[in-house]
Amino acid sequence: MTTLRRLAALLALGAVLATGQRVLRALDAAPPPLTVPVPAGATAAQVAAATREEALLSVARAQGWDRTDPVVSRQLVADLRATGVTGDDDALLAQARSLGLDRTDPVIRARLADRARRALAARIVPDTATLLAWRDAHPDTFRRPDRVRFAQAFLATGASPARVAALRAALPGVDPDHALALGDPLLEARPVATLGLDRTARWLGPDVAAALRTAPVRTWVGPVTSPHGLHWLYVLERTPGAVPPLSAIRAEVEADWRHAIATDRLRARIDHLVAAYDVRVVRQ
Amino acid sequence: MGLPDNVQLNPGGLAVLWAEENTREALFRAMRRREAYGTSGPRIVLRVFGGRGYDPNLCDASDFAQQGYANGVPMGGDLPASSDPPTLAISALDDPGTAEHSGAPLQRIQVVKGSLDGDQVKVEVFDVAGDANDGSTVDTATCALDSHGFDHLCTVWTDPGFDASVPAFYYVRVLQDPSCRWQSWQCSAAGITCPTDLSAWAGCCDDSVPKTVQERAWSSPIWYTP
Repeated sequence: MTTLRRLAALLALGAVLATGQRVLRALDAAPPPLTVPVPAGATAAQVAAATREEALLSVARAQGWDRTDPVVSRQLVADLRATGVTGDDDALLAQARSLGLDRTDPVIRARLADRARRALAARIVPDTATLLAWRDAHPDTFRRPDRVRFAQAFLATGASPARVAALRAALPGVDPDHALALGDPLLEARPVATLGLDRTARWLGPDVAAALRTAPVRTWVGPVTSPHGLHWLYVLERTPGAVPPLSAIRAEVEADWRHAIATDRLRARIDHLVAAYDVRVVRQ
Repeated sequence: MGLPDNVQLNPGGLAVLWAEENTREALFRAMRRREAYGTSGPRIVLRVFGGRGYDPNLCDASDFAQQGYANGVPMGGDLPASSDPPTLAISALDDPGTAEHSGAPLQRIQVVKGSLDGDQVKVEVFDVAGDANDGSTVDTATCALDSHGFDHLCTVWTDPGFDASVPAFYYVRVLQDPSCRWQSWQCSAAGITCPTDLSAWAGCCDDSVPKTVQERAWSSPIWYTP
Protein backbone atom coordinates (compact mmCIF):
# COMPACT_ATOMS: atom_id res chain seq x y z
CA MET A 1 0.00 0.00 0.00
CA THR A 2 1.34 3.40 -0.82
CA THR A 3 1.87 5.92 1.94
CA LEU A 4 -0.73 8.14 0.28
CA ARG A 5 -3.37 5.42 0.31
CA ARG A 6 -2.61 4.55 3.88
CA LEU A 7 -2.79 8.21 4.80
CA ALA A 8 -6.22 8.50 3.20
CA ALA A 9 -7.51 5.37 4.89
CA LEU A 10 -6.23 6.32 8.28
CA LEU A 11 -7.58 9.83 7.96
CA ALA A 12 -10.99 8.40 7.19
CA LEU A 13 -10.64 6.17 10.19
CA GLY A 14 -9.25 8.97 12.28
CA ALA A 15 -12.13 11.28 11.53
CA VAL A 16 -14.24 9.03 13.63
CA LEU A 17 -11.86 7.23 15.81
CA ALA A 18 -8.76 9.01 16.76
CA THR A 19 -7.10 12.31 17.18
CA GLY A 20 -4.94 13.64 14.40
CA GLN A 21 -1.90 13.01 16.53
CA ARG A 22 -2.74 9.35 16.77
CA VAL A 23 -3.12 9.13 13.02
CA LEU A 24 0.22 10.81 12.42
CA ARG A 25 1.91 8.51 14.88
CA ALA A 26 0.41 5.56 13.07
CA LEU A 27 1.76 6.82 9.79
CA ASP A 28 5.28 6.78 11.09
CA ALA A 29 5.00 3.14 11.92
CA ALA A 30 4.21 0.09 9.88
CA PRO A 31 0.50 -0.58 9.29
CA PRO A 32 -0.99 -1.84 12.52
CA PRO A 33 -1.45 -5.60 12.54
CA LEU A 34 -4.92 -7.07 12.52
CA THR A 35 -5.08 -10.71 13.50
CA VAL A 36 -8.14 -12.48 12.15
CA PRO A 37 -8.78 -15.96 13.55
CA VAL A 38 -10.99 -18.09 11.32
CA PRO A 39 -11.94 -21.77 11.19
CA ALA A 40 -9.55 -23.92 9.18
CA GLY A 41 -12.09 -24.48 6.43
CA ALA A 42 -13.34 -20.90 6.19
CA THR A 43 -14.28 -19.74 2.71
CA ALA A 44 -13.00 -16.54 1.19
CA ALA A 45 -16.28 -14.83 1.95
CA GLN A 46 -16.13 -15.96 5.57
CA VAL A 47 -12.57 -14.70 5.87
CA ALA A 48 -13.59 -11.35 4.42
CA ALA A 49 -16.52 -11.05 6.83
CA ALA A 50 -14.33 -11.99 9.80
CA THR A 51 -11.74 -9.44 8.70
CA ARG A 52 -14.32 -6.68 8.53
CA GLU A 53 -15.59 -7.62 11.98
CA GLU A 54 -12.08 -7.57 13.45
CA ALA A 55 -11.43 -4.18 11.88
CA LEU A 56 -14.61 -2.83 13.44
CA LEU A 57 -13.70 -4.35 16.80
CA SER A 58 -10.31 -2.71 16.56
CA VAL A 59 -12.05 0.60 16.01
CA ALA A 60 -14.31 0.04 19.00
CA ARG A 61 -11.42 -0.89 21.25
CA ALA A 62 -9.42 2.13 20.10
CA GLN A 63 -12.33 4.23 21.29
CA GLY A 64 -12.36 2.42 24.62
CA TRP A 65 -15.92 1.19 24.15
CA ASP A 66 -14.95 -2.27 25.36
CA ARG A 67 -14.34 -0.66 28.75
CA THR A 68 -17.01 2.03 28.83
CA ASP A 69 -20.03 0.56 27.03
CA PRO A 70 -22.69 -0.33 29.64
CA VAL A 71 -24.05 -3.19 27.53
CA VAL A 72 -20.61 -4.78 27.49
CA SER A 73 -20.25 -4.44 31.26
CA ARG A 74 -23.68 -5.93 31.91
CA GLN A 75 -22.98 -8.83 29.59
CA LEU A 76 -19.64 -9.60 31.23
CA VAL A 77 -21.20 -9.69 34.66
CA ALA A 78 -24.08 -11.81 33.37
CA ASP A 79 -21.64 -14.23 31.75
CA LEU A 80 -20.02 -15.02 35.06
CA ARG A 81 -23.22 -15.07 37.09
CA ALA A 82 -24.61 -17.60 34.60
CA THR A 83 -21.78 -19.95 35.54
CA GLY A 84 -22.57 -19.63 39.24
CA VAL A 85 -19.82 -17.20 40.18
CA THR A 86 -20.91 -14.81 42.90
CA GLY A 87 -19.62 -11.46 44.02
CA ASP A 88 -20.23 -7.79 43.44
CA ASP A 89 -20.41 -6.44 39.93
CA ASP A 90 -16.99 -4.76 39.99
CA ALA A 91 -15.26 -7.97 41.05
CA LEU A 92 -17.10 -10.01 38.43
CA LEU A 93 -16.28 -7.44 35.78
CA ALA A 94 -12.59 -7.59 36.55
CA GLN A 95 -12.64 -11.37 36.59
CA ALA A 96 -14.49 -11.55 33.28
CA ARG A 97 -11.96 -9.24 31.64
CA SER A 98 -9.06 -11.23 33.04
CA LEU A 99 -10.58 -14.31 31.45
CA GLY A 100 -10.76 -12.49 28.12
CA LEU A 101 -14.54 -12.73 27.86
CA ASP A 102 -14.65 -9.18 26.49
CA ARG A 103 -12.82 -10.48 23.41
CA THR A 104 -14.68 -13.76 22.93
CA ASP A 105 -18.29 -13.24 24.01
CA PRO A 106 -20.33 -13.12 20.78
CA VAL A 107 -22.85 -10.68 22.22
CA ILE A 108 -20.10 -8.28 23.17
CA ARG A 109 -18.36 -8.65 19.84
CA ALA A 110 -21.61 -7.97 18.03
CA ARG A 111 -22.34 -4.96 20.21
CA LEU A 112 -18.91 -3.42 19.69
CA ALA A 113 -18.85 -4.13 15.96
CA ASP A 114 -22.32 -2.66 15.57
CA ARG A 115 -21.37 0.46 17.50
CA ALA A 116 -18.34 0.98 15.29
CA ARG A 117 -20.44 0.31 12.20
CA ARG A 118 -22.97 2.92 13.28
CA ALA A 119 -20.22 5.41 14.01
CA LEU A 120 -18.92 4.97 10.48
CA ALA A 121 -22.43 5.12 9.02
CA ALA A 122 -23.11 8.37 10.82
CA ARG A 123 -20.31 9.92 8.82
CA ILE A 124 -22.18 9.22 5.60
CA VAL A 125 -24.42 12.24 5.28
CA PRO A 126 -26.28 12.92 2.03
CA ASP A 127 -26.58 16.55 0.98
CA THR A 128 -29.82 18.19 -0.05
CA ALA A 129 -29.18 17.74 -3.75
CA THR A 130 -28.67 14.03 -3.25
CA LEU A 131 -31.92 13.70 -1.33
CA LEU A 132 -33.85 15.76 -3.84
CA ALA A 133 -32.59 13.58 -6.65
CA TRP A 134 -33.49 10.47 -4.68
CA ARG A 135 -37.00 11.73 -3.99
CA ASP A 136 -37.54 12.68 -7.62
CA ALA A 137 -36.25 9.35 -8.85
CA HIS A 138 -38.70 7.45 -6.64
CA PRO A 139 -41.93 9.46 -6.67
CA ASP A 140 -44.14 6.44 -5.99
CA THR A 141 -42.30 5.76 -2.76
CA PHE A 142 -42.98 9.19 -1.36
CA ARG A 143 -46.25 10.18 -2.99
CA ARG A 144 -49.04 10.85 -0.52
CA PRO A 145 -52.34 9.20 -1.49
CA ASP A 146 -55.39 10.98 -2.74
CA ARG A 147 -57.32 12.16 0.30
CA VAL A 148 -61.00 12.69 0.76
CA ARG A 149 -62.97 14.53 3.41
CA PHE A 150 -66.37 12.96 3.82
CA ALA A 151 -69.36 12.30 6.03
CA GLN A 152 -71.28 9.07 6.09
CA ALA A 153 -74.27 7.27 7.44
CA PHE A 154 -74.10 3.56 8.13
CA LEU A 155 -76.39 0.60 8.70
CA ALA A 156 -74.94 -2.73 9.79
CA THR A 157 -75.36 -5.86 7.71
CA GLY A 158 -78.87 -7.22 8.06
CA ALA A 159 -80.63 -3.90 8.60
CA SER A 160 -84.31 -4.14 7.77
CA PRO A 161 -85.66 -2.62 4.54
CA ALA A 162 -87.72 -0.25 6.65
CA ARG A 163 -84.61 1.16 8.35
CA VAL A 164 -82.86 1.44 5.00
CA ALA A 165 -85.81 3.31 3.55
CA ALA A 166 -86.08 5.59 6.58
CA LEU A 167 -82.41 6.52 6.49
CA ARG A 168 -82.48 7.08 2.76
CA ALA A 169 -85.46 9.40 3.17
CA ALA A 170 -83.93 11.31 6.05
CA LEU A 171 -80.51 12.04 4.62
CA PRO A 172 -81.31 14.86 2.20
CA GLY A 173 -82.54 17.02 5.04
CA VAL A 174 -79.74 16.26 7.49
CA ASP A 175 -76.60 18.24 8.19
CA PRO A 176 -73.86 15.82 6.98
CA ASP A 177 -72.02 16.36 10.28
CA HIS A 178 -74.91 14.68 12.07
CA ALA A 179 -75.69 11.88 9.63
CA LEU A 180 -73.55 9.26 11.34
CA ALA A 181 -75.72 9.45 14.45
CA LEU A 182 -78.81 8.44 12.44
CA GLY A 183 -77.57 4.91 11.74
CA ASP A 184 -75.66 2.15 13.48
CA PRO A 185 -72.34 2.58 15.27
CA LEU A 186 -69.28 1.79 13.18
CA LEU A 187 -65.98 1.30 14.93
CA GLU A 188 -63.63 4.24 14.35
CA ALA A 189 -66.14 6.16 12.25
CA ARG A 190 -66.24 9.92 12.76
CA PRO A 191 -69.00 12.29 11.71
CA VAL A 192 -66.56 13.85 9.26
CA ALA A 193 -63.29 12.13 8.42
CA THR A 194 -60.32 13.08 6.27
CA LEU A 195 -58.54 9.98 5.09
CA GLY A 196 -56.30 8.71 2.34
CA LEU A 197 -58.19 6.57 -0.12
CA ASP A 198 -55.78 3.71 0.52
CA ARG A 199 -56.53 3.85 4.23
CA THR A 200 -60.24 4.03 3.49
CA ALA A 201 -60.03 0.92 1.33
CA ARG A 202 -58.36 -1.01 4.13
CA TRP A 203 -61.01 0.10 6.60
CA LEU A 204 -64.22 0.05 4.58
CA GLY A 205 -63.26 -2.04 1.58
CA PRO A 206 -62.50 -1.27 -2.06
CA ASP A 207 -66.07 -0.50 -3.11
CA VAL A 208 -66.49 2.31 -0.61
CA ALA A 209 -63.06 3.68 -1.55
CA ALA A 210 -64.00 3.57 -5.24
CA ALA A 211 -67.24 5.41 -4.54
CA LEU A 212 -65.42 8.08 -2.57
CA ARG A 213 -63.04 8.52 -5.48
CA THR A 214 -65.81 9.23 -7.99
CA ALA A 215 -68.87 10.47 -6.10
CA PRO A 216 -70.04 14.01 -6.86
CA VAL A 217 -69.12 16.54 -4.21
CA ARG A 218 -71.72 17.64 -1.66
CA THR A 219 -74.27 15.06 -2.74
CA TRP A 220 -75.42 11.96 -0.86
CA VAL A 221 -74.66 8.75 -2.74
CA GLY A 222 -75.42 5.20 -1.73
CA PRO A 223 -75.96 2.86 -0.25
CA VAL A 224 -72.58 1.37 -1.05
CA THR A 225 -72.12 -2.14 0.31
CA SER A 226 -69.03 -3.00 2.31
CA PRO A 227 -68.24 -6.11 4.34
CA HIS A 228 -69.53 -4.17 7.34
CA GLY A 229 -72.88 -3.05 5.97
CA LEU A 230 -74.41 -0.20 3.97
CA HIS A 231 -72.80 3.21 3.64
CA TRP A 232 -74.24 6.49 2.39
CA LEU A 233 -71.42 8.85 1.51
CA TYR A 234 -71.20 12.63 1.30
CA VAL A 235 -67.91 13.90 -0.13
CA LEU A 236 -66.95 17.35 1.09
CA GLU A 237 -63.57 17.73 -0.53
CA ARG A 238 -60.89 15.79 -2.40
CA THR A 239 -57.19 16.50 -2.25
CA PRO A 240 -55.11 14.93 -5.02
CA GLY A 241 -52.10 12.95 -3.90
CA ALA A 242 -48.70 14.53 -4.41
CA VAL A 243 -45.05 14.14 -3.58
CA PRO A 244 -44.42 16.50 -0.64
CA PRO A 245 -41.62 19.05 -0.62
CA LEU A 246 -38.34 17.69 0.67
CA SER A 247 -38.51 19.83 3.79
CA ALA A 248 -41.62 17.91 4.87
CA ILE A 249 -40.22 14.42 4.31
CA ARG A 250 -36.47 14.84 4.57
CA ALA A 251 -36.05 12.22 7.31
CA GLU A 252 -38.17 9.75 5.36
CA VAL A 253 -36.21 10.31 2.15
CA GLU A 254 -32.90 10.04 3.97
CA ALA A 255 -33.96 6.80 5.64
CA ASP A 256 -34.95 5.34 2.28
CA TRP A 257 -31.73 6.54 0.69
CA ARG A 258 -29.69 5.07 3.52
CA HIS A 259 -31.46 1.77 3.21
CA ALA A 260 -30.75 1.59 -0.49
CA ILE A 261 -27.42 3.34 -0.86
CA ALA A 262 -25.64 3.81 2.41
CA THR A 263 -25.25 0.09 3.01
CA ASP A 264 -22.96 -0.16 0.00
CA ARG A 265 -21.09 2.97 0.99
CA LEU A 266 -20.65 1.70 4.51
CA ARG A 267 -19.27 -1.54 3.15
CA ALA A 268 -16.81 0.47 1.07
CA ARG A 269 -15.79 2.43 4.16
CA ILE A 270 -15.19 -0.71 6.13
CA ASP A 271 -13.17 -2.17 3.27
CA HIS A 272 -11.21 1.07 3.22
CA LEU A 273 -10.62 0.65 6.93
CA VAL A 274 -9.45 -2.92 6.49
CA ALA A 275 -6.98 -1.73 3.89
CA ALA A 276 -5.26 0.39 6.53
CA TYR A 277 -4.23 -2.71 8.46
CA ASP A 278 -1.65 -5.40 7.98
CA VAL A 279 -4.16 -8.25 8.00
CA ARG A 280 -2.94 -11.61 9.23
CA VAL A 281 -5.47 -14.42 8.83
CA VAL A 282 -4.92 -17.27 11.26
CA ARG A 283 -6.68 -20.48 10.37
CA GLN A 284 -7.46 -22.53 13.50
CA MET B 1 -40.66 -20.85 -7.98
CA GLY B 2 -41.89 -22.88 -5.04
CA LEU B 3 -42.37 -22.65 -1.32
CA PRO B 4 -39.73 -21.26 1.06
CA ASP B 5 -37.40 -23.66 2.84
CA ASN B 6 -39.36 -23.63 6.08
CA VAL B 7 -43.04 -23.90 5.30
CA GLN B 8 -43.85 -24.01 9.01
CA LEU B 9 -43.04 -20.33 9.48
CA ASN B 10 -45.78 -17.74 9.49
CA PRO B 11 -44.65 -14.44 8.02
CA GLY B 12 -46.57 -11.22 7.75
CA GLY B 13 -47.78 -10.24 11.20
CA LEU B 14 -48.73 -6.67 11.95
CA ALA B 15 -48.19 -4.50 15.01
CA VAL B 16 -50.74 -1.77 15.57
CA LEU B 17 -50.52 1.32 17.77
CA TRP B 18 -53.37 3.51 18.88
CA ALA B 19 -51.80 6.94 18.60
CA GLU B 20 -53.31 10.41 18.55
CA GLU B 21 -51.63 11.14 15.25
CA ASN B 22 -49.09 9.66 12.88
CA THR B 23 -46.02 11.37 14.29
CA ARG B 24 -42.89 9.96 15.87
CA GLU B 25 -43.75 11.48 19.24
CA ALA B 26 -47.31 10.17 19.26
CA LEU B 27 -46.19 6.69 18.21
CA PHE B 28 -43.63 6.51 20.99
CA ARG B 29 -46.20 7.75 23.50
CA ALA B 30 -48.50 4.94 22.38
CA MET B 31 -45.71 2.40 22.83
CA ARG B 32 -44.87 3.70 26.29
CA ARG B 33 -48.46 3.34 27.44
CA ARG B 34 -48.58 -0.09 25.72
CA GLU B 35 -51.67 0.83 23.73
CA ALA B 36 -50.90 -1.68 21.04
CA TYR B 37 -52.07 -4.91 19.55
CA GLY B 38 -50.83 -7.47 17.10
CA THR B 39 -52.36 -9.43 14.29
CA SER B 40 -51.22 -12.47 12.40
CA GLY B 41 -51.61 -10.48 9.18
CA PRO B 42 -55.14 -9.19 8.61
CA ARG B 43 -56.06 -5.60 9.29
CA ILE B 44 -58.52 -6.32 12.07
CA VAL B 45 -59.49 -3.19 14.01
CA LEU B 46 -59.56 -3.87 17.73
CA ARG B 47 -60.50 -1.65 20.63
CA VAL B 48 -60.31 -2.83 24.24
CA PHE B 49 -61.01 -0.80 27.35
CA GLY B 50 -61.08 -1.89 30.96
CA GLY B 51 -62.87 -0.18 33.79
CA ARG B 52 -65.83 -0.33 36.07
CA GLY B 53 -69.32 0.83 35.38
CA TYR B 54 -69.29 0.79 31.60
CA ASP B 55 -72.75 1.13 30.12
CA PRO B 56 -73.94 -2.41 29.19
CA ASN B 57 -75.27 -0.87 25.96
CA LEU B 58 -71.96 0.74 25.08
CA CYS B 59 -71.81 -1.28 21.87
CA ASP B 60 -74.81 0.66 20.59
CA ALA B 61 -73.10 3.99 21.16
CA SER B 62 -71.49 5.90 18.33
CA ASP B 63 -68.76 7.14 20.69
CA PHE B 64 -67.48 3.76 21.90
CA ALA B 65 -63.86 4.86 22.12
CA GLN B 66 -64.60 8.19 23.78
CA GLN B 67 -66.60 6.47 26.50
CA GLY B 68 -63.94 3.79 26.77
CA TYR B 69 -61.26 6.34 27.54
CA ALA B 70 -63.50 8.44 29.75
CA ASN B 71 -64.54 5.59 32.04
CA GLY B 72 -61.51 3.32 32.11
CA VAL B 73 -58.14 2.51 30.62
CA PRO B 74 -57.26 1.30 27.11
CA MET B 75 -55.39 -1.90 26.27
CA GLY B 76 -52.01 -1.90 27.97
CA GLY B 77 -53.32 0.13 30.90
CA ASP B 78 -53.50 -0.55 34.64
CA LEU B 79 -56.85 -0.93 36.34
CA PRO B 80 -57.19 0.99 39.57
CA ALA B 81 -57.50 -1.14 42.70
CA SER B 82 -61.10 -1.80 43.65
CA SER B 83 -63.24 -4.56 45.08
CA ASP B 84 -65.60 -4.28 42.11
CA PRO B 85 -65.01 -6.73 39.27
CA PRO B 86 -63.55 -5.12 36.16
CA THR B 87 -65.51 -4.78 32.95
CA LEU B 88 -63.95 -5.00 29.52
CA ALA B 89 -65.49 -3.14 26.59
CA ILE B 90 -64.34 -4.83 23.39
CA SER B 91 -65.11 -3.98 19.80
CA ALA B 92 -63.57 -5.53 16.69
CA LEU B 93 -64.09 -4.89 13.01
CA ASP B 94 -63.07 -7.41 10.39
CA ASP B 95 -60.60 -6.83 7.57
CA PRO B 96 -62.63 -6.00 4.46
CA GLY B 97 -59.88 -7.41 2.26
CA THR B 98 -59.14 -6.19 -1.22
CA ALA B 99 -60.93 -6.15 -4.54
CA GLU B 100 -59.14 -9.41 -5.39
CA HIS B 101 -59.50 -11.19 -2.06
CA SER B 102 -62.19 -10.40 0.45
CA GLY B 103 -61.18 -10.75 4.08
CA ALA B 104 -62.49 -13.53 6.28
CA PRO B 105 -65.21 -12.52 8.75
CA LEU B 106 -64.70 -12.68 12.50
CA GLN B 107 -65.63 -15.87 14.32
CA ARG B 108 -65.43 -14.88 18.00
CA ILE B 109 -63.78 -12.81 20.67
CA GLN B 110 -62.04 -14.41 23.61
CA VAL B 111 -60.83 -12.88 26.84
CA VAL B 112 -57.73 -14.54 28.24
CA LYS B 113 -57.36 -13.95 31.96
CA GLY B 114 -54.23 -14.72 33.89
CA SER B 115 -54.14 -14.62 37.67
CA LEU B 116 -52.10 -15.97 40.52
CA ASP B 117 -53.31 -19.18 42.13
CA GLY B 118 -50.88 -19.51 44.99
CA ASP B 119 -47.53 -19.27 43.27
CA GLN B 120 -48.87 -20.62 39.99
CA VAL B 121 -50.21 -18.60 37.08
CA LYS B 122 -53.76 -19.65 36.31
CA VAL B 123 -54.98 -18.96 32.78
CA GLU B 124 -58.65 -18.93 31.86
CA VAL B 125 -60.15 -18.38 28.41
CA PHE B 126 -63.65 -16.99 28.00
CA ASP B 127 -65.61 -16.87 24.74
CA VAL B 128 -67.35 -13.52 25.09
CA ALA B 129 -68.76 -12.74 21.62
CA GLY B 130 -69.38 -14.49 18.32
CA ASP B 131 -69.83 -18.20 17.73
CA ALA B 132 -67.10 -20.86 17.73
CA ASN B 133 -69.39 -23.11 15.71
CA ASP B 134 -70.65 -20.69 13.11
CA GLY B 135 -70.49 -23.33 10.38
CA SER B 136 -67.88 -21.61 8.26
CA THR B 137 -65.79 -23.73 5.94
CA VAL B 138 -62.98 -23.20 3.48
CA ASP B 139 -62.22 -25.14 0.32
CA THR B 140 -58.48 -25.68 0.54
CA ALA B 141 -58.25 -26.54 -3.16
CA THR B 142 -59.55 -23.15 -4.27
CA CYS B 143 -59.34 -21.19 -0.98
CA ALA B 144 -62.97 -20.16 -1.45
CA LEU B 145 -64.71 -19.28 1.82
CA ASP B 146 -68.15 -20.25 2.93
CA SER B 147 -68.19 -17.94 5.91
CA HIS B 148 -71.00 -17.33 8.34
CA GLY B 149 -69.03 -15.16 10.72
CA PHE B 150 -69.36 -11.55 11.73
CA ASP B 151 -68.13 -8.32 10.20
CA HIS B 152 -68.25 -6.66 13.59
CA LEU B 153 -68.24 -8.03 17.12
CA CYS B 154 -68.72 -5.99 20.23
CA THR B 155 -69.38 -6.83 23.85
CA VAL B 156 -69.21 -5.49 27.36
CA TRP B 157 -67.98 -8.30 29.61
CA THR B 158 -67.53 -8.42 33.36
CA ASP B 159 -65.14 -10.87 34.99
CA PRO B 160 -67.34 -13.46 36.78
CA GLY B 161 -64.55 -14.73 39.03
CA PHE B 162 -62.80 -11.58 40.14
CA ASP B 163 -60.83 -11.71 43.39
CA ALA B 164 -59.73 -8.22 44.36
CA SER B 165 -56.82 -9.60 46.39
CA VAL B 166 -55.20 -11.41 43.45
CA PRO B 167 -53.08 -9.80 40.71
CA ALA B 168 -54.47 -10.46 37.25
CA PHE B 169 -54.17 -9.54 33.60
CA TYR B 170 -56.70 -9.64 30.80
CA TYR B 171 -55.99 -9.71 27.11
CA VAL B 172 -58.31 -10.12 24.17
CA ARG B 173 -58.02 -12.48 21.25
CA VAL B 174 -60.11 -12.00 18.12
CA LEU B 175 -60.35 -15.01 15.82
CA GLN B 176 -61.32 -14.93 12.18
CA ASP B 177 -63.22 -17.71 10.49
CA PRO B 178 -60.84 -20.32 9.07
CA SER B 179 -59.16 -19.37 5.82
CA CYS B 180 -56.41 -20.76 3.65
CA ARG B 181 -53.00 -20.69 5.25
CA TRP B 182 -50.50 -18.80 3.11
CA GLN B 183 -48.94 -21.87 1.53
CA SER B 184 -52.38 -23.12 0.49
CA TRP B 185 -52.88 -19.90 -1.47
CA GLN B 186 -49.61 -20.50 -3.29
CA CYS B 187 -50.29 -24.18 -3.85
CA SER B 188 -53.76 -23.38 -5.17
CA ALA B 189 -52.46 -20.64 -7.46
CA ALA B 190 -49.76 -22.95 -8.81
CA GLY B 191 -52.29 -25.73 -9.44
CA ILE B 192 -50.40 -28.31 -7.40
CA THR B 193 -52.13 -31.65 -6.98
CA CYS B 194 -50.99 -34.18 -4.42
CA PRO B 195 -48.90 -36.21 -4.49
CA THR B 196 -46.45 -34.09 -6.44
CA ASP B 197 -43.00 -34.86 -7.80
CA LEU B 198 -42.05 -31.19 -7.67
CA SER B 199 -39.69 -30.99 -4.71
CA ALA B 200 -40.04 -27.22 -4.42
CA TRP B 201 -43.76 -27.72 -3.79
CA ALA B 202 -43.48 -30.71 -1.46
CA GLY B 203 -44.87 -28.56 1.37
CA CYS B 204 -48.21 -28.50 -0.43
CA CYS B 205 -48.60 -32.20 0.26
CA ASP B 206 -47.05 -32.32 3.73
CA ASP B 207 -49.83 -33.39 6.08
CA SER B 208 -47.95 -31.98 9.06
CA VAL B 209 -48.50 -28.47 7.68
CA PRO B 210 -52.03 -27.17 8.33
CA LYS B 211 -53.94 -26.21 5.20
CA THR B 212 -56.05 -23.61 6.97
CA VAL B 213 -55.47 -21.08 9.68
CA GLN B 214 -57.52 -18.88 11.94
CA GLU B 215 -55.93 -15.49 11.55
CA ARG B 216 -56.25 -13.38 14.64
CA ALA B 217 -55.60 -10.22 16.58
CA TRP B 218 -54.48 -10.06 20.20
CA SER B 219 -54.39 -7.05 22.44
CA SER B 220 -51.90 -5.85 24.98
CA PRO B 221 -53.06 -6.95 28.44
CA ILE B 222 -54.90 -4.75 30.88
CA TRP B 223 -53.34 -5.24 34.30
CA TYR B 224 -54.81 -5.43 37.76
CA THR B 225 -52.66 -5.09 40.85
CA PRO B 226 -54.33 -5.13 44.29
